[in-house]
Amino acid sequence: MLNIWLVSWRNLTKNKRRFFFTLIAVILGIQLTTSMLVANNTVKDTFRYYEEIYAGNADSWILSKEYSFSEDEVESIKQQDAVKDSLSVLDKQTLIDVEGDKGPPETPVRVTGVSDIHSNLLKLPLIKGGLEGGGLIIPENASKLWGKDIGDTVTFKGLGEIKVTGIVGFTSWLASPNSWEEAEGRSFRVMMDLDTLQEWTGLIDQISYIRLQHEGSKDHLLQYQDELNGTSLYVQPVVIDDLRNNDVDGLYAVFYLVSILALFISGFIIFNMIYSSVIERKKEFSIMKSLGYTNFNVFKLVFMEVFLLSLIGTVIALPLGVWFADLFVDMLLGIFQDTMVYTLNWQSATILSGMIGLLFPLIVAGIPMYIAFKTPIIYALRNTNKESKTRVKVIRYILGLAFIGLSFLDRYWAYVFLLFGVILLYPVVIRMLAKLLGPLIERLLGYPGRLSVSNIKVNTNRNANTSAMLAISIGVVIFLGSALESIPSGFEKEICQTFGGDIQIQFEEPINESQLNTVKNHQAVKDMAWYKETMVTWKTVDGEAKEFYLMSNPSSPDFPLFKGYAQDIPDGAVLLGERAFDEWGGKVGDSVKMNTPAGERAYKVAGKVNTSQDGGYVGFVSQEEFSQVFNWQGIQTLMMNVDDSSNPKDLRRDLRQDFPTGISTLTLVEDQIESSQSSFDGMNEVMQFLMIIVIALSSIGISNTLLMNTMERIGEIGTTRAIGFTTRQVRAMVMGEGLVVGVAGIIVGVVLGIFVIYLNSISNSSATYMPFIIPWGNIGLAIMAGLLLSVIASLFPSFIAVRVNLVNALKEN
Amino acid sequence: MITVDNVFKHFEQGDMKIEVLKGVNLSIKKGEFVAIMGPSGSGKSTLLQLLGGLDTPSSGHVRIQENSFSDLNEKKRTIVRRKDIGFIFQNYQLLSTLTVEENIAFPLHADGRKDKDGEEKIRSIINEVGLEGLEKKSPNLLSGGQQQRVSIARGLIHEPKILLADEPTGNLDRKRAEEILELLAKFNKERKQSIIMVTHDIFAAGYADKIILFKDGVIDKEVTREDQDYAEYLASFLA
Repeated sequence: MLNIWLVSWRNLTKNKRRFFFTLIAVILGIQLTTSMLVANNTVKDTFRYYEEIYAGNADSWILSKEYSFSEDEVESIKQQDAVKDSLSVLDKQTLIDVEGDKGPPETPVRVTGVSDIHSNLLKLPLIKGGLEGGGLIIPENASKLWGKDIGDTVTFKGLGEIKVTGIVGFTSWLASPNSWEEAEGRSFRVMMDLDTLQEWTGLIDQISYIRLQHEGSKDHLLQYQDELNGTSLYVQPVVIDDLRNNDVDGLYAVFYLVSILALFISGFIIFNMIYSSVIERKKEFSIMKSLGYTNFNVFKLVFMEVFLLSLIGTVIALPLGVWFADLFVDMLLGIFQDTMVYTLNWQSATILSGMIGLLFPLIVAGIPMYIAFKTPIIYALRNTNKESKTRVKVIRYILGLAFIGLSFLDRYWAYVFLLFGVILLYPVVIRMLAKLLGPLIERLLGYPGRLSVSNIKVNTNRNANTSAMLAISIGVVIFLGSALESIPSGFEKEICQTFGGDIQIQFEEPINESQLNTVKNHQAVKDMAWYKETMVTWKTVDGEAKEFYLMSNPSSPDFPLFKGYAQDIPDGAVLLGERAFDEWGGKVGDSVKMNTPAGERAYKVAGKVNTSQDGGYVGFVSQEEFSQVFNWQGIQTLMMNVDDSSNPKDLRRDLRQDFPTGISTLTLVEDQIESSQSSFDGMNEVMQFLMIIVIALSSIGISNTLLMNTMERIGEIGTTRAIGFTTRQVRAMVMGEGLVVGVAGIIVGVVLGIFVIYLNSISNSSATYMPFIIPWGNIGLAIMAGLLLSVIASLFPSFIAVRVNLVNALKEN
Repeated sequence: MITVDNVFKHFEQGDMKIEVLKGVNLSIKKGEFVAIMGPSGSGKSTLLQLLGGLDTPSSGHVRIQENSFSDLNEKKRTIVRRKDIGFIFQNYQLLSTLTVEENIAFPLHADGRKDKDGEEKIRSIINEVGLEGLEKKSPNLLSGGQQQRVSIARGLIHEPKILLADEPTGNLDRKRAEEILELLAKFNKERKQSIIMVTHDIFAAGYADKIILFKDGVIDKEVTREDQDYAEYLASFLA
């Protein structure tokens, strides 16, 4: 009995080298896809995890517009049957006593006292020690900088001494500086027992806010709003919104882009291999059919071959993909300032990749399988004169041109047409480029170089597809490079224009006139303004709860916080930052629902504005709205411009000296720019790394194609050897073919990349608009990587070509 | 000019050792036209491959003038092939991506000798083999006879001392075969190039000065045009 699996396996592995290269392509394609999907899930989970541990199991919290309030004011709420659990919290800023020359500018620390350190409304990622013992809980960053470990004593100036009992990993509760330099801008945070802190500070019964967990419906929000109306307290639901703390949406798009590119390239390699195999065996298929095989039997035979290939590739690729994802996520999260721990979320992504791995080779091999299915029974008996395919070619090129024309439409999907247009036109492009490159290649490699150029004409489509893959990869590298370069340059400008002066100071509590004057009287302060801000929860068009900072118009127009809206903000209206607007999902003129102290209220969205505040995930209302609806009178945030002759860093130190425990953050505009720049640089490195992997995958395609070309032309190679080519000349000929495919890919890739940048620069849609910036660094990198990898890719086929046994090769013809 | 000195050649197929040539001794003079005949598997094509330096003997020596192929490395064998030997194959072995003219010029290019002088040589040989007007065509578009003419022109363009032809008329009808053989005979006479032709066809062998009959890996008989039994020998074949 004929074992169809065994036959398929033999057919698949008959040409071992080709099988090996195709298998590598399948493995790399699936591995990258798995890695990107796992990385995507893991990064999303990690950001969400940190939001969730910050929220604990709380569903709402009551805050004050003042620095603190008496716990008695919320006693009646705490006693309600619906309240399942509560956590009272007091924040107090002080200075820590550390060894060395560190003074007030670097040593402010916010001590958070909590009523129950074991509460389920508080989740702490403990990494050392324990939560018991009533000691101090410090973050890992602070432990390293202060040189304090479990059991060590920490002294807070003017408050008291306490032993460290627990060290925790990153959490928003205790987010602390990573370096002493950073400590000048923001204070350290630590946690301890509420009673002790109240006793130390003399703020008996005083708290800053209370977190609550309820049973049943959320009607209590309305009830509390009524109850707290007219007081300095207000209630907000707890919303888990990781967008507030990170701006990595673009990164997720890159993950998907890399996956799609990897699958696309891998798919082309599989297509080339199966197509060549089917064409070579057409005679065999017709003989099989003449002996009783049905069309379906032949189809099944090829199907089994592809299935075996995808099965083996997928089984090897999945664990490799998960392993690579671990490395990649580690590298990626290393970009961020805070050390984040993560758990690899690999299950669902691996299942999805496994399904893709098994299915996509079968899909891309559809055409060759159909050709096998349709092979006529008389194929083996007749002399196969190739039919003229001129009409097909003409239609192909016309379609290609039309598709490229469609790319001028200002739509996302137009880029898909552009890619297909490039692929359709590529055979003619590669022939033209081969002709143009001919003299150069001949000069470089001599007569074998000229033959390389001629050889491109054989299997033009295969060579064109391979080169097109490289071109598309390079095009994407260049486009992403431009996108990344345009963001920081745009960002720097945007930060300067919308930061609100040179320095922003956030105080721990509303400041009074005398404090305001202390700041104003500094010689270095040229002028000064303020704005008010509060955290509010709001709803997207789909009803999803979100949270962002709502800010008032600045007190002076000389300190703009946004651009793109010149008029005064009308009452009852809000301006949304770009990211908030996109997340909201509505149109200008529609209403967005926000929770105010007076209950949920609809605000008309008057416009979408550009702002660097909170990365654009922010809203702006008028000062009147802030005072009346939010009943917010105190000033906590100051903005100032520094005198030209003064150094902003000196002023920062002076202000820290003036308000050693009063300032929670003190940010210079250059710190903000530097921080954004370093994030973008990190992202750029990650993307370049990914793109080099994609170009490497393309070069495996080149190797595979050259190997197939070599093996198919083994007879001709034998002839050239017989009539006078040395092994060196044969090697040069094969390397030359690799160079033509590679250099054509690089040229088209660079043109394609610049063309896409141009299309984005003329786009009227803000989602796709990008300034026309040519990323010369990325172009250089893509050219170098493309050239180097093309040469490396040609080495193995050229080695195979020179090992040809002359006598056997001559028999091939 | 060519001496084959006690040449043995065997191939290994798994555990089996197949002896193809079992001690062949042969000498071919400059300008001699030799036909090698014999049944399939007798070793005649293997001998031709050894004479062309495409393969090396398992033992013994094949010498072209003073050079023994056995003593030369791959590169030096290629240089000898490139300068002193021309090949004509049964299935022409033309390079499909090159035009007629480019195929003919290949040996000159491979040797870095494509100059003005080379251009004239190419034109002249194209005329001699009767391929005028077909220079820019792809060899795939030519008839079998025309393709073999391209192969002959390519085998002669670099003026080799020896021309090795493996069944040059094997794929041609009688008329075209005759034309090709006439051409070979003409070049042999005019250029004084040694021609060694492997053939199954006694009609083709009739153009040679010497016929060598192979049998079971050894030379069974050698007969020259000057020998008295030459005509008898041909007749016995025809019979």
